[in-house]
Amino acid sequence: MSTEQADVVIVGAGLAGSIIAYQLGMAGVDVLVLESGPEIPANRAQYLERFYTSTLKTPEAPYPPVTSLDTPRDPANENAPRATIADLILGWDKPAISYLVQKGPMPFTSTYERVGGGTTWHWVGTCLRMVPNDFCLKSKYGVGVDWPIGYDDLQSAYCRAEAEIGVAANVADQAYLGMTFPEGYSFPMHSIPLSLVDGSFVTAVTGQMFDGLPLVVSPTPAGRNSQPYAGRRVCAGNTNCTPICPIQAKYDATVTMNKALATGKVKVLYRTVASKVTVGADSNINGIEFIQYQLGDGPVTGTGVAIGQRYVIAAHAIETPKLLLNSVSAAWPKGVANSSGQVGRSLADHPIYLAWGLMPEGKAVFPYRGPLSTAGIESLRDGDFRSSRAAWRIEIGNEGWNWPATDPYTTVADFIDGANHSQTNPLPPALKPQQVLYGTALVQKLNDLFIRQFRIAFLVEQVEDDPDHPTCYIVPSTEYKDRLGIPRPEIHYDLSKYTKEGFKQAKKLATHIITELLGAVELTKPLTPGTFTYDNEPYSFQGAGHLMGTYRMGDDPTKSVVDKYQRSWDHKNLFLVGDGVFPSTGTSNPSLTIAALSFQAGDTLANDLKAATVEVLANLPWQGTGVQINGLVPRLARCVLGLWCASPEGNWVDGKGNPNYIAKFGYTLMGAAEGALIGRVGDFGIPFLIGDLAQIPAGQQGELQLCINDDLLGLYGAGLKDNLGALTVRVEFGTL
Amino acid sequence: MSSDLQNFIGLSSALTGIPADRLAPAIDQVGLPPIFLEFITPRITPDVLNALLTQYATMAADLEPPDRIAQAVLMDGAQPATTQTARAARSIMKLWLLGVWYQPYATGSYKSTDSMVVSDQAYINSWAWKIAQAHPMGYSEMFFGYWNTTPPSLEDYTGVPASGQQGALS
Repeated sequence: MSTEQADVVIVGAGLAGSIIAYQLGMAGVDVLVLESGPEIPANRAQYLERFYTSTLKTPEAPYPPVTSLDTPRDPANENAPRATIADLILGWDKPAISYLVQKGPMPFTSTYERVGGGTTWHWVGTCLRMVPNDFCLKSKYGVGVDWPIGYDDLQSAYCRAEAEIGVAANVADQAYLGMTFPEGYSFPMHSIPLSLVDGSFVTAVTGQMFDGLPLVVSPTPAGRNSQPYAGRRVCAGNTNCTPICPIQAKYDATVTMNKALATGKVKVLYRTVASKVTVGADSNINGIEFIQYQLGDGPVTGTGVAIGQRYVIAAHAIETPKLLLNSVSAAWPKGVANSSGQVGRSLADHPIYLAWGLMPEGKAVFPYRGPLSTAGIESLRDGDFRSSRAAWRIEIGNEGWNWPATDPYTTVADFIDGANHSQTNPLPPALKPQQVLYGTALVQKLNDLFIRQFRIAFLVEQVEDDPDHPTCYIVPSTEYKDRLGIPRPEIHYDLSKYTKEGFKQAKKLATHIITELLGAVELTKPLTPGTFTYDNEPYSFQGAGHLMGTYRMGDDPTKSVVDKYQRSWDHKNLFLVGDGVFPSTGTSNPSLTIAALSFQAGDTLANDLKAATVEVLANLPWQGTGVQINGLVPRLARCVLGLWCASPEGNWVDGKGNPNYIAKFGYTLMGAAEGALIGRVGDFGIPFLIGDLAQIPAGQQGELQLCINDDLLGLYGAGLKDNLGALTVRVEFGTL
Repeated sequence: MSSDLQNFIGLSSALTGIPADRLAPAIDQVGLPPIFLEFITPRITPDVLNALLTQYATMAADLEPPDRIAQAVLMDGAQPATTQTARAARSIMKLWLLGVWYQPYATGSYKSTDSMVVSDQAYINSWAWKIAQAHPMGYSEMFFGYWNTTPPSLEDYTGVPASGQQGALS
């Protein structure tokens, strides 16, 4: 058994793990990352080739281990298996096929990756913020669970996440439903142009209402380059954000992990599966045991334990609780971090109501072009209706019927074979005859159908009817293991009445938009395996790949797993990050919020380990703090204790100084209050006001120096000589 | 005498409606026709291939129009024919349009449920995407923002005019 040591041990090299590793690396913290899957490839050619040659072009198609319908795999023989679409097709409830041991009553239909870079390899890139009321569902609408933080608490972290990911959007388009932005803020890149499909929706819905609320099409903020950004190319509209962007115009976490590695402080162990978290007598975590392999279905090649001062589990809403619950011990019989009993509970997704149709004859919208989605109807993400039914956002797709009907494959085969799986041979209400076409008539018919296809997806908020007794949860299977002998996730999944009512309203609006506003033929039909009946109507739902819940944050240690800093209530040196901390799902695709929260967790960790506390004397000029500012990591200076005075006549003041005396020429910082705390970076840095708390200006490098705002040169009297007192200042990581 | 390759291209054009000089351009950097021909030969069997190519060559020599040839190969009256040649022909059509080979019947070690993408180039150059006036998902040669404008015409993409022409005029 080997031992690996670092200041911080992170499990998972996906979005959250990469951002935290990068933040800590820049802060001078030694980081070790344990990643269950293979390394980030030097280029994406091999993944791309696997996509091109795969008959089953699912989100998982490019990534290892290979999935296909021809030869079902046995997850018991794989070292780091994951949920796949092939599992859902071949037997979602058959553990001999499906990695997730699904107990129903409904199938959990979302999937994820276990590779370096995580599931951001195949995210669509949607970077919506949560709307303010998403954080207070319980207090505002009496349902679900409140977050311990609000929109404003995430404002600066959202901005940092948007910078790291590289989000293309315009503020004017995004300031709806109470969302605000800092004054003068602009996104890193201008918005992505709308598609012709979007344009048809703008024309159809503008001025229309639903449930007393307006229907408004908004350009979708996207982690996708509308101009060269961070050394990556501009989007070329490959219409393939999922499963793989061929040119990395769309952000993925490998971008951040590569920057983390470049700090020289971060090390990643790939094909290294965390198997158990161990707890010391002081309740702190004292190690994470791991198992290593070389080939996906090969033998174990090593075992070890990773030891650090702090531990971060960033393995999302299924693998994280699996690890915690697999870590039971005599002292912690419910597993690690689970005194509340909430670990693994409240598993959620954004179950999707998928609807599709064919535009009227002569009304071409030319799908299969552009990013997968460039706009949505976001105006119904919040409203009084949330007291009785789930909200949703509507994503407008640019990929025709690729999702609902696996086109172009299905329609092509229909007109060659004389079949009607696409429902276009013939279009309803006719049932026959089914045409068999060839030659130019085939080309013309297919063209006429393809260029009129569209689909919309309602991402429905998932809320438990009784959040204290959730019906959706994950526990480790007592029966089924992977090749390493680790118990696999056993999933229990259902949709609440509240959520189903959201589906009912989604269906109503979808049909209204498709048939009445667009004048199109609707072809929506239930798709297996995610089906249910509600109010005597059949429905089906698709997985969004948004795995949330299972270790929620909160104010109450008996009802939540982590506090608002994402720190375990039970183990002070353990952080659980990613969308498992979400107490409620809202309707926004979660990645941007995951990234924002990861920046905050990175700050907290860096402050735990590297924040400096210094004393600044009133009677001395510029004093070095010993803290080197690198200009990259955002830093704060915070006055935590003490009083001082700048002259015998002046009052004793804190870092804010005396507002009645404004500093004159020759003072440390002319124009600021006398006696205020002033900082500068390096001997020749431009002085800036700290007061009791300030952000250290970005972009400057050197030692942070501090000084009282006073008559430095003795131009007006005794200068500093008659000053008294001192302040204690904490130099932290973070943003205001 | 036409070669097997020329007959295969001619037959493919009659079946799919895509002009022969687009399936096999004079300057062909990819060269799918010989790859496809070699790929399908064992899968449909040389006998069935020979029957298909002979049927095509005979009718082409009689100056039968392409649609008549396709109809003769594919149809049994108004219904799709169930002969091996017809089933093989339908798989050839899907191969050109989708880049995927759907094994039409069991023969040798090939099972009737087999399907595979013949190669990355077979996918990238498959015709369904051009028929949609688009590009294969995951292979765009266009530039940022193109999705905001009307594409070139179907005729530009395929050589076949649309039934009700839509798209930018060429």
